[in-house]
Amino acid sequence: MKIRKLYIDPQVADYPATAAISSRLDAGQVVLADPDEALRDIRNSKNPETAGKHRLIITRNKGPFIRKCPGTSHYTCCDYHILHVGAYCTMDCTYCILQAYFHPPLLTLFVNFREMTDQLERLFKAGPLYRTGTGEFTDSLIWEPVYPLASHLVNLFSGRDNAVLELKTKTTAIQGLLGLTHRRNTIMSWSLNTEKAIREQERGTASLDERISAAAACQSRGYPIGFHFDPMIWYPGCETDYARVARKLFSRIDPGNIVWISMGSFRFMPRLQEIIERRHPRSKIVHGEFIRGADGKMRYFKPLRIRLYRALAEAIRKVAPDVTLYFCMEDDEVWRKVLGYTPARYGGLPSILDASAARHCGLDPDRISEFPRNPVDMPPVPPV
Amino acid sequence: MPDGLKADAREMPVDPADVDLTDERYRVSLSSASPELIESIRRLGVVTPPLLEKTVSGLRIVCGFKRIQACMQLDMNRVPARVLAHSLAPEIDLLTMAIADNALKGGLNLMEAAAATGKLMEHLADENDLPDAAAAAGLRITPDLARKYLRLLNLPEKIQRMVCHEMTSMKVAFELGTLNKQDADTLADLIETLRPTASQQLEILSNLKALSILQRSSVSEVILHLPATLILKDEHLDRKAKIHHLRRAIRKARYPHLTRFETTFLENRGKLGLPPGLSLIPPPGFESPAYRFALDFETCAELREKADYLRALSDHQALREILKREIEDT
Repeated sequence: MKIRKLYIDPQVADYPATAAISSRLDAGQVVLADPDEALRDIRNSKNPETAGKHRLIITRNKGPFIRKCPGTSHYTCCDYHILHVGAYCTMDCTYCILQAYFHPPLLTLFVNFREMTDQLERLFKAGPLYRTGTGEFTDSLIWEPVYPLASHLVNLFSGRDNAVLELKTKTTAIQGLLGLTHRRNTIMSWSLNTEKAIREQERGTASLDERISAAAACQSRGYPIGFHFDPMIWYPGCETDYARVARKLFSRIDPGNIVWISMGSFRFMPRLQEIIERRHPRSKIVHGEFIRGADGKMRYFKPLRIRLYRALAEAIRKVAPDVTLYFCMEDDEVWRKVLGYTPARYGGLPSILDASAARHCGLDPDRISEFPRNPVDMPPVPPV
Repeated sequence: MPDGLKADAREMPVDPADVDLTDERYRVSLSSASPELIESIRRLGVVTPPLLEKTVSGLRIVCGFKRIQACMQLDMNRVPARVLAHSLAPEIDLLTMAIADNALKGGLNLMEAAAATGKLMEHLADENDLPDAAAAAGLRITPDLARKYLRLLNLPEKIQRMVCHEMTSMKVAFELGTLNKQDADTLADLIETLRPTASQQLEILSNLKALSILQRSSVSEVILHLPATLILKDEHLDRKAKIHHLRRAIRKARYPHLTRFETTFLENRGKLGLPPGLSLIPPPGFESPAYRFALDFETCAELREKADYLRALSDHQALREILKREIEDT
């Protein structure tokens, strides 16, 4: 997606990153007297969610760079730490929660990297293990062609014994990362979906084959890999399609190099429905069999979610029985019925993921509060 | 009426035949003279004289469309009226008076308020002046409400008529307005025939719209292929039964797995044979795995009896089926 307008916060106007980014973007530039002017521009546009994808503001992150994932009530969260480097996305997935999360949504890139680095250094000195990622409020790699922020982060995390960085993407912008000395502290992750879902719901993203090829390229350069089947979308025939994605994935990727695979079904705050219907009137995605979940979000009717997860989990387990498989925001009933256990049995989901990160990324196991010491303590191969 | 206009309006008898009924620039009420009004004028005459304005060719009604209509139906050729000279008052003042005359007498329905808003807007240079102009006419209109009124005025006539006759709500009318003409007509006919409640209309409409997207067909085609279509033509069923069958058929098509799951739950709950005062309540949307029993009792003996019943239920095969919470393969 083309950036048509670049807003520059005067506070960062003389930063080297600002100069680098603006020189690489063929966009009209405005140094704002008042940074809120950019937000007003978006609010006043006819279609703010689309307008916000064509305009980028380079500014300072005035709040913390590292935040705990907000999670949601009643469902199990992985206790991830978000590295807040920017906001919104140049790709255009129908279901994207960021359309409703930011008011208004505007492409944002924070360039006060020194403050970010200082905050990360403090984190590295702290006690416990941190799983951190940039792919929550934006895609981790969309700005790589313009500014090598991810590369900077890979270098920063390299060799740390208590922190991993997860770069989560739907792109193939990995060229700048392949030659870096990452020491397996960076997990390269791809959001995966069926070819039909990618074609119909994930506009402007890389195809399934391209994503898997990019993952294979990263694997060949020693990066540990992660995958996220989220959001899984229900449609007639989807179970077969998700199983096919799993088979395709393992035809290129070594299960032993996969740190984790998450599963989560499409869920949304009710206010997102209006945005999706307005922007994508022909999309079927909001017309599934949804109920209002315990957290107020719309979710597929639970037995349907379980059926969907089982189809994928079974396909994954056939090839990769030992891979760490988990759910993003599901409850114990789903865990039990699909994987055969609940996270509490192994110290909770954060501990399970910490342990997997430690094993695959060579972190110090003593930094994990409830690290399973031997294979007997690890989650069993579930009876799918 | 502003004092100046009051003094300028001359009371005189007029012949209704001289009144141009087609000039509706000040018309606010959308209904015709009621039988009650006609009967009252027949017996008592016109109690409050209509306000008319002289024009080049005759007389134009400012206030009192229904009174003039009633007089014409009664074949009266002399009706008391207050008549203003041509172009004496600015149109906006006369319009304000006409709106106030209707609003303060019996109130305006949604379409009348919308029409009044539309007419006021035509005379205002700045839409921000609307709340003040409306207040002078006895209406409280916020900018948001004004926008909704103007949207109502742009809906097809059939939908406007349904709103006017309070057959549907503004929200449903807007939803109908998003459909193509054939679909809007089909649904409007359905609503006119069955007269479901406002919330039932919204449910039917949103489910049908979703089905039309899911099936990539028009709303009319979705309705045509519903198993309930025949039921709608069944003369032995009353209106409420038809609404019930229609809603059930639509919901079944819209939520096939969920409705099948609900049906299985209800069948299994039926097999439990729960006595009166003891009910098994499923979690909302079957999301939580926790079910609840509600138990009513008036005496300790009754409590004991029902508690024993509950204890025995824990081994019941139907309860086990309920708690399994599995959906069948399709």
